Amino acid sequence: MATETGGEQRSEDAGFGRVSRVRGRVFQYLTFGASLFGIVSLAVLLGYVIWDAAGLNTAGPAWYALALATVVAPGAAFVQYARRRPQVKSAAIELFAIIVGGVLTGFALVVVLAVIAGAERWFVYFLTTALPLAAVYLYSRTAEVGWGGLALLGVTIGGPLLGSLLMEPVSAVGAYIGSPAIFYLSVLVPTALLVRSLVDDRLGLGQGNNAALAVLLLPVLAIPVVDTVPLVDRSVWVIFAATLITPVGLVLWKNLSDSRRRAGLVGPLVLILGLGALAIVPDMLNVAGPSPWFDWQYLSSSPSQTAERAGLYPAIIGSVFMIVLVALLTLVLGVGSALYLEEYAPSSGPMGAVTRLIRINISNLAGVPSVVYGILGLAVFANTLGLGFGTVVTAAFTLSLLILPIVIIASREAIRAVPDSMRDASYGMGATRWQTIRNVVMPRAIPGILTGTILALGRAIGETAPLIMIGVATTKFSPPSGLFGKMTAMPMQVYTWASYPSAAFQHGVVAAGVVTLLIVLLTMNSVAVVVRNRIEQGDY
Amino acid sequence: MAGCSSGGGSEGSSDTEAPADEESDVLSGEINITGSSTVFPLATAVAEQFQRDNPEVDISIQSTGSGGGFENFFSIGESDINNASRPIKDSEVSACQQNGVSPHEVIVATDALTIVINNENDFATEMTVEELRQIWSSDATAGQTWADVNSSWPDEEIERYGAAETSGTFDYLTEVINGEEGDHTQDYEPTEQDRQIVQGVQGSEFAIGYFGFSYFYNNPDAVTAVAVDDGDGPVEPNLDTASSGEYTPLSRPLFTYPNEKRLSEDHIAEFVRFFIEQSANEEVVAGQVGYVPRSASQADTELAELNGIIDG
Amino acid sequence: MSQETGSFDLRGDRGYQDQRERVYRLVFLACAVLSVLTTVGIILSLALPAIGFFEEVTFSQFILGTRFSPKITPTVFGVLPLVFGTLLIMVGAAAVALPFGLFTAIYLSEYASTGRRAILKPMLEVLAGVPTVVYGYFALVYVTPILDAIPGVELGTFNALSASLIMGIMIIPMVSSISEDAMSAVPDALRDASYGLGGTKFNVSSGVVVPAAASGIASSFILALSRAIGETMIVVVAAGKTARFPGGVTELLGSFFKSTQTMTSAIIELGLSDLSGGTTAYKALFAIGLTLFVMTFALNLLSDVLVKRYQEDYN
Repeated sequence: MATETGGEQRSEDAGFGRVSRVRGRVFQYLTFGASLFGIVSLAVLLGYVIWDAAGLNTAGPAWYALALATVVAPGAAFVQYARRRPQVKSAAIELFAIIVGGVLTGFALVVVLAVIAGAERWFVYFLTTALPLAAVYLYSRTAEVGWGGLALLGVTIGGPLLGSLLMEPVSAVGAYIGSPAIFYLSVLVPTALLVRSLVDDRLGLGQGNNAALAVLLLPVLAIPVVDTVPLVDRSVWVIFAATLITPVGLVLWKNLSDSRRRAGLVGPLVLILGLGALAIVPDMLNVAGPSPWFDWQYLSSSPSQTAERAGLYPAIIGSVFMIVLVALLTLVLGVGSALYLEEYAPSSGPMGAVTRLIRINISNLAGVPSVVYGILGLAVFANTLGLGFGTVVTAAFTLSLLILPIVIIASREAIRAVPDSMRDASYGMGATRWQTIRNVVMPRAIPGILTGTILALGRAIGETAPLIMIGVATTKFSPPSGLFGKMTAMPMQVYTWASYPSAAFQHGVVAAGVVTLLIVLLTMNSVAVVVRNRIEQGDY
Repeated sequence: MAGCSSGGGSEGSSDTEAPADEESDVLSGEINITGSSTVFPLATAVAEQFQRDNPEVDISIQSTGSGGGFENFFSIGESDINNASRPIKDSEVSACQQNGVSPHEVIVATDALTIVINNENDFATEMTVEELRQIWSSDATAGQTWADVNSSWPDEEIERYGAAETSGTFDYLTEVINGEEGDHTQDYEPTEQDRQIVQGVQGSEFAIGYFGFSYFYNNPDAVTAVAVDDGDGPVEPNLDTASSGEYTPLSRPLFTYPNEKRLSEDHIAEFVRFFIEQSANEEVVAGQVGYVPRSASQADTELAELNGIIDG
Repeated sequence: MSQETGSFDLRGDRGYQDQRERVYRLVFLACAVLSVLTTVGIILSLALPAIGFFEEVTFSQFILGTRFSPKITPTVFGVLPLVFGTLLIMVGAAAVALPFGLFTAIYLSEYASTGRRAILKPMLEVLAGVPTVVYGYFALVYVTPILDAIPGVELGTFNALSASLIMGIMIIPMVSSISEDAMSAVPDALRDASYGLGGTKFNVSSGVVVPAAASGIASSFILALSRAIGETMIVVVAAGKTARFPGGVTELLGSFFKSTQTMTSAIIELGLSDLSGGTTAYKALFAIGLTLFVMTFALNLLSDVLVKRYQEDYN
């Protein structure tokens, strides 16, 4: 490439002359601008929605000044400090991620275990399925027995069956010991064991037993304090102790012992204190603050005709319930199909033609409009199979079919990315195809599969058209009562609210709903990105 | 009973959950309601209150339209109650009976279909039924101006906003004003969202729209209601004129049809009773939703009829 | 199984291994076959009621009719207005998504540093993942007023312009990611050769990489169009319910500023409507769905064929 600086001197040379860079520069900025266009447009729209949902129209300049002082300024100061110190930055990001992740995981567990399943029911399935599964898995890892896989399958099928049979007596026991105790046994104790092995093996901090003991004892000691807080009851406290307090404690311990990283812990702390101050101080000083639509009341109330009382709670539970089922179905069916297409399918002969047909079929299914899947769900699941209109099962099956092609395609990519040399090495050692898949291919493909599945699930959570076609309720006041109960979902509820006439609904309640949906989406995308980064960093 | 939250009561949802002691007289069960989008706001308000008092009852409401609700859900027994903005048709009754469903008619409110114009419009605040027919029926051609209908009105093109052809409100206007089912001009902005009609009419001085009274009630300053002259002088729509029948021909009764076979279930029977009681509650029907409530004696009659069926 | 001294029989007894292998294979085959069943299910659930519809409305009336009026007398079920509405939105969305998507892909593949790419790509994924009902809400509540405020532009509350603009934004990531994959697959040897001949980066990107990846880029365009055709919630919330068929070119251009009904929006309206299950109007839903399915299927097939036929093999 001719350099410009030498232009003058080389003008006597064989006339390369000057190459105009202008076009290239313009083109570069043009393409850069193009890539920012969509993102910036979305950001502007998000700004509008957040403004509406946070009710910032009622906040006065004094509040903004306060926000600047308590949150923005300290935050900016910390960022400036951490810029040049990568260790500090990494510690701060780690703590922040663990806090956010812990809170969200805690909420997810509370919703799935405490609300949808119910403590006693979870207790039964924990004893009959989860515990034996974990035991068999750990044993088969250490003792290298051949029947491990079969045993796991047996427990997966037999456990729930046994659980349904023993539901009455065992849940009576569960009711007797109480739900905090149930979660203590099923969530906190495994966490403590996990902590012990983590601390000893991975983090090498020693004192694994002490750490485990701390995890077991501290939540119990804190119960008198927890009882005074009205919003948090003991079961919730136990769950959060496992998902939030313990990991945060670990991260704090790990970073405090490293003098270079210590300062990073200040960052999230400053943010939390600042936000806390922003929440409490305006009332004390009589400063006009925002009147947010998106608040705790919104997330925990039922829909209502009055905008101020309206809430998203049944829709959230419905969506979570449905997505858990969709996740299970698509992982099993999607990975199964992808494994067949990549590992087992012949590429020639009659079966080869069938395989090609399946491949083309899947890539076409990925492009079929979602409303057509709704029609399919209506005809097959709701009508023919009689699973009911707008029930959790119908919705779960319909949405699973919708995202299945996407999951299959993503899984195939992940499986294909595993180099053939590894497979050949495994075959060379005498392994069968299944053994190769289980021990060589799957461990490497799982992160890619997870990434694709999480992104697909994010899409499924936001889908409305298929739900409309299968007859999901326009308004529902309580969460679904079971697998065959009627449900409503977040996007459906938001869509219904968008048709209410008053401005309070349009710019308040709906905006809050949109913000909720976006938070869910961003969370899922972030998790997918983190998983993908792990792959690229080669942790696997 | 899956979905019972044990620790979930702490999630601040004290609005929706009561301490569920295992008393045998706590109502519980599922109620599926389908039907008219016009009755939907009323049904939702009533259901919301009922559910607050009886948190173990799981009510789901679907706005499917009157006909769609009857044919696709109610007559096959999928829903327990169907709301309608018009009486049930004979064909629908026989479809129900074929599947062992017995609809019982209950009038729960009166709706006053409201014609609205822009607040700046001072020339068409009173209209005769014939003028309305000229504007809304298929006789209205594209590019029709206000002056074409009444020579004293400005020569500006009429902008129309109305119900989508697949809604009960559309059916009602076409039958009552235009005279024939399906006889409606194509030159209008159809929408199921009455809010958009409000916005559309607000947007232009020469716009005209129509929707159920509830939406006018919620936006009384946004648009102006037209006083309709059915031969006895122009009558403005409000609770009194609609209730007394003075506001003709655009007052229509709103119905709910519970399935008699389902009334044997306590929670459904209680809900229908509650619905009837609430139909005379002016604060809810008129204040919250915007329809004309039933009188106390009308509600009592309905209640007696209902109890007769339940006990009989 | 003879055992000669000096040679080892490695077959041994695998126990139940072979049967197990076969079982696994069957299990996975069953999973894959499910996808075929899905397609069959879709076709049947659309075609069977549609046949009932075509007994009442002739095929040519449906395909060639320029009026769609399920309720307003005289009732007529011509699908062309809906097809027009769909294509209108598709064109608007394509006008935004195709250029922006392509340029984004060029930037990501040729110009962006690893750090920038690591930030831009997740953001584009977010763009693709926002629920469509949220996009519809954005179009209706925020974009339409903004566009309406531009002097000279007069938009109805429901209009095709806002809906198609927002849809275009939603589709950008689809175009950019598939095009970028296609461009990354172009081997560096081609780029280096061009640089060696004295080309600038601009020459390389526009003159070498893009043409080389043309089939992949075209495929991404077609898939994006297919997505635009099938998108439902954005048009249901923001584009309105008037089925229009323009009489001339000016009317055609003016259609952007007015409310439009697409095939997907008509399906939702008929499905949710006051019409009873047995009526012709309700059955029209399935006929429209069948048309939609055929259109998207044809587009996806076209995209596959393009890639197979014209993809340059640089190995």
